[in-house]
Amino acid sequence: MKTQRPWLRSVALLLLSVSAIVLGLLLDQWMITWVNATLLCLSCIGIQ
Amino acid sequence: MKRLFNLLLRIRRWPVQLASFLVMNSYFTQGVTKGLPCPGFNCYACPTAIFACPVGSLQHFVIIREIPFYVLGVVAFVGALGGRAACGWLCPFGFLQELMYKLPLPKWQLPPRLGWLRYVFIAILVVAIPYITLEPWFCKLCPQGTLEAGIPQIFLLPELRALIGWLYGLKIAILVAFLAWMAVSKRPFCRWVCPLGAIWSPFNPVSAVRLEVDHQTCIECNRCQQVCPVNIRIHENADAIECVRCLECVRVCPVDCIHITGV
Repeated sequence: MKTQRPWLRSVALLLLSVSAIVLGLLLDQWMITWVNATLLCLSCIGIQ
Repeated sequence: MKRLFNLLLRIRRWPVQLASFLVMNSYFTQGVTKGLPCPGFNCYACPTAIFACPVGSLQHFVIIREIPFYVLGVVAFVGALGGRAACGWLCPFGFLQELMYKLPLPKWQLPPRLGWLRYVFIAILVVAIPYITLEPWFCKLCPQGTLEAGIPQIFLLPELRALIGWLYGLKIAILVAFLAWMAVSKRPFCRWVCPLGAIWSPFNPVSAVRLEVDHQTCIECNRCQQVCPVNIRIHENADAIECVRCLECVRVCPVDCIHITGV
C-alpha cells in the first residue's frame, strides 16, 4: 500500500528498532550476547 | 540527501566489502565489541571476529527461552535504514559468493521463486530445532562457520582435533557444496538459505533508503538484471525483497531510470 508520507513509516520503524535495542539493554541482553559470542562456539567449529 | 545518494553511486563496492570483512575480523577489539551483532554473516567463533553473529545470537536466545529484543532491534535498525543494503555492501559471505561467481566456469541460474525457502530454514534450523534440542543447529551446519571457525580453529587449537567426528565432515561437505554452487550461480546462499537476508528482506519496501524506477523512461533492456548479483529484474519491482541494494543497476542503466530515494 502506497502512503503519502513514506518517511513516516521509515521513521516509525527506526524508532521501534531503537526501542527494542533499549529494552534489550535494560534486560541485560548485551551481556548475554557478549558472553555467548566470546565463549568458543563448538557447534560453529563442527565438533560436539 | 541527493548529494549523499550521488556519492554512494561513486563509491566502488568491492573495496567497501573488503574493508567490511577486514573490520569484522580485526581481532583487537574482541573484548569490547563482541556484544554487538554485526551487519552481515560473520561467524563469532572465527579467531579474529570482533562482533557477534546475529543468527548465532538469535539461536542462543531461543535456547535460553528469552525474546531477543536487543539482537532483533539491532538487525531491524540496520534493515530499517537500508533494507538488505548490508547484504550487498557489508556481508563477508555475500562478498565471497560474488568473488566465487567471477571464476570462469559455466553458469546456471536458480529458479527465481524459491526465496521463501529461507523462511523454512529460519523456522526449522534457527527456531524450532534449537528450541527443542537446546543446540544451535543452524551453526552446526553453517558453511560460513566452517570456513571462518571450523578450519582455522582446528589448526590453532590442536587439542580440538581429537574431537572431530561426523559433524565436522558434514560441515566440510556443506561448505564444499556451497563453494561449488557459488562458482556457477549468483549468490545461492543469500537467495535460498540465509536467515539474516530473510529477516532483512521485508524491510526493502519500507526502509529509509529505497530504489524507484521510472517506468516511462525504462526501455527494458535488462542490463540491470545482467549486473544484478541476485539476478532480479529490478525494473519490474523496485521494492523486490531479493534486492541487496548494491546499486549496480543504478550505475549501469543506460537511460537513468533507476533512482535512489528515501527519507
